[in-house]
Amino acid sequence: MTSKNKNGSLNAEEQKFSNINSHWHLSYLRLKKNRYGMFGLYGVLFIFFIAFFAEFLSPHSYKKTVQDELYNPPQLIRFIDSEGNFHLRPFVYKLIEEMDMETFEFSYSNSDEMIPIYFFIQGDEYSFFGFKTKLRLFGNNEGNIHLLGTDNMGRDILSRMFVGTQITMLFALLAVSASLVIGLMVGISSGYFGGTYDLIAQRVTEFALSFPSYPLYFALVALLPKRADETTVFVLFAGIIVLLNWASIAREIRGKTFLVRNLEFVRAARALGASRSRIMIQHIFPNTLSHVIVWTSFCIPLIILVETFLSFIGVGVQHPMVSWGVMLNQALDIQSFAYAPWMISPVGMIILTVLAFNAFGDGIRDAVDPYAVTK
Amino acid sequence: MAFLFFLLKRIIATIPLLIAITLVAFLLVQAMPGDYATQWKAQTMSMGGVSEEDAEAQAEALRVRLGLDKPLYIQYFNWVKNITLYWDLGESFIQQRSVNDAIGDRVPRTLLLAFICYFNAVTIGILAGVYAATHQYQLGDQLATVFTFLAFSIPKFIVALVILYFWAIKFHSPYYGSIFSQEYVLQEGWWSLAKTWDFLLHTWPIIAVGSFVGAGYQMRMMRGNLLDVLKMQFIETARAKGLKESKIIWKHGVPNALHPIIMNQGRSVGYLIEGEIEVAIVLAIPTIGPLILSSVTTMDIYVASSIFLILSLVLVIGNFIADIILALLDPRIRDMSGGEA
Repeated sequence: MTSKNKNGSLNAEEQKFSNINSHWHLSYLRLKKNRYGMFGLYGVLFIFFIAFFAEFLSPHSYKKTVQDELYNPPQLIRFIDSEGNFHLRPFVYKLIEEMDMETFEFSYSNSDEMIPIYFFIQGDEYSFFGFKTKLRLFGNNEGNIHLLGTDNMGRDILSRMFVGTQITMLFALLAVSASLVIGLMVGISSGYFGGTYDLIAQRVTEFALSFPSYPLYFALVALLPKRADETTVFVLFAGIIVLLNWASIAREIRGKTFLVRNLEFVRAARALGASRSRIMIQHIFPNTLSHVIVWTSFCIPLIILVETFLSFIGVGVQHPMVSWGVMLNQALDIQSFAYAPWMISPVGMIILTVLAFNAFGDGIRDAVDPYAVTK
Repeated sequence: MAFLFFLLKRIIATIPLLIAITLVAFLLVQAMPGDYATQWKAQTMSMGGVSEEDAEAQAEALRVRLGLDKPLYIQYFNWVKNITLYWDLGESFIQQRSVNDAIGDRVPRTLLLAFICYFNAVTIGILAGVYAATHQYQLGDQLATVFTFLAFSIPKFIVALVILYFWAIKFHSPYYGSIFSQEYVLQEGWWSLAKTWDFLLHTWPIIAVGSFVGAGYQMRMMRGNLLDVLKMQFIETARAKGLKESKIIWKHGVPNALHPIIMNQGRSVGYLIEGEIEVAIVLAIPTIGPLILSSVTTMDIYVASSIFLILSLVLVIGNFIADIILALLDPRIRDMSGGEA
């Protein structure tokens, strides 16, 4: 439709339209109009940001234990001290520990000693994608700052929460991408070839779908070798999740493939002599992409919840690896939970993550629908 | 006729699934490293101070007594035979009694709780869904949408943790961690009103979490379906005829919108049981939840596989019933000659 003027370039009116012709661009424009969807998008980006820069953002090493700072309550960031003076540099008050000699109960109160928060400090060493560095966003090397308190071993909960974000997201991405690869291969091939192969593939898919997931997760998780190192357990655990998750996307993709496999463009490709793998990868796969994206954004929170729950009851990710679920595990001990309720602060991150991914999924589902009317 | 054919086809399709479930149930738990006898051996050696040879001999004797020395497939056939013929699920090694006794009182409780949750979820969810769909974009609808969103996003075990904190820690509730108060534990026969009330006092977290999360799901589905249906032409026709709005919604809208909901009921059974497991584990309410966790961590083979089997059966039967009801309601499904049912 684009007509060129004498210079051979598009005029302004046409350029405006030629910029927004792609399906993905239109989808993005639709998403932008959706407030929930945009909240989801920013939330998801925020979580990935935390996961990516986890160690840089955290004031301490997530493994560091401080013997005399067990169960420290959270400290408040302050700008105004007790005498009412304003400080440009934020600070926290150092905690004093007192023991009630009758009940032997520890209690904490703020002292007058201020611990200023410094930025871009040289703290505990960590490795950032293979580079050894000590640079941390904030902290103080003289006094310890625990914005969310410490746990039963005196580890900083905020730092552990950030590193936990990394592990949990890594887990979710690993499990989702593996499920996707399997689901896509099974779905596209069974939809494309049809016949006996399709029948068998569909029965297997149905089988995987009809299994009650939780009992099976329990049983499979118990099979994990107890003495293996935590990385092996992590990968095997992800494998278990994949085992039950590939089926739903496989079925969806198969349906979609079924719809497009006899459309003109596929027939044309076949007539031109394209190989079967070329047709499946180049012509059918791109048509399933919107399903894939929607499925992914809904699947990630589900996987996070399963991982968190199983780690929480102690059968998932293992120490010394830390995920949100592993951190929450301490709250199952009802006495320490009663004593230090701030240990469940990863709950906030979990809810934020799941909310963000679900909102993003809702938004993107409406946005990528090619039949949606752009208002 | 078409319906009978559909029923037959559906039953035949279910049989391989049932066989596969029993097979997986058995093999999964069998494949765990070591068996009860190895655990026995380790225990007698470390705690009883028995020498390794003696412990091994004891373990061997135990294997013979429990039939653990036979090849796997014979163990499997024995297991299936005992289940189908005598309804004998095997023996719990840890609790030293039969699996029937170990899970006997827990399974009905779990199912009862799941049913209560289910009933609440469907009633609240469908009514709220109809309300939200008929008051689209108004305050009630917005609230309902936020509510479903939270129901989807806040993990059930986290709600349970918060309940645990206030219920057990802040208020030291006497109802925490058991299913009946002392005086009702040994009471036989039909439940009196007081006993039912006592039961509710002990298990309300499960009912509350299950009902509301389930209601969120049902409401979301109902709202979407009804909105779709209300856009259709026959609704417009009904309006043009001058029918009352309430009649349009309840006679023409809702029955047509219920169809996809019924299709999803089979799934929600499994979903409710999952939620029940989560909450019960956190709050230590003696239902299937805590038992499945302990049986898996202590390798209590027959208990674990029996629970797995029973839950799978419940799910399969739930799906089956949902399919049948759907076929009864919708002639298009039962007349379908091939393809997915």
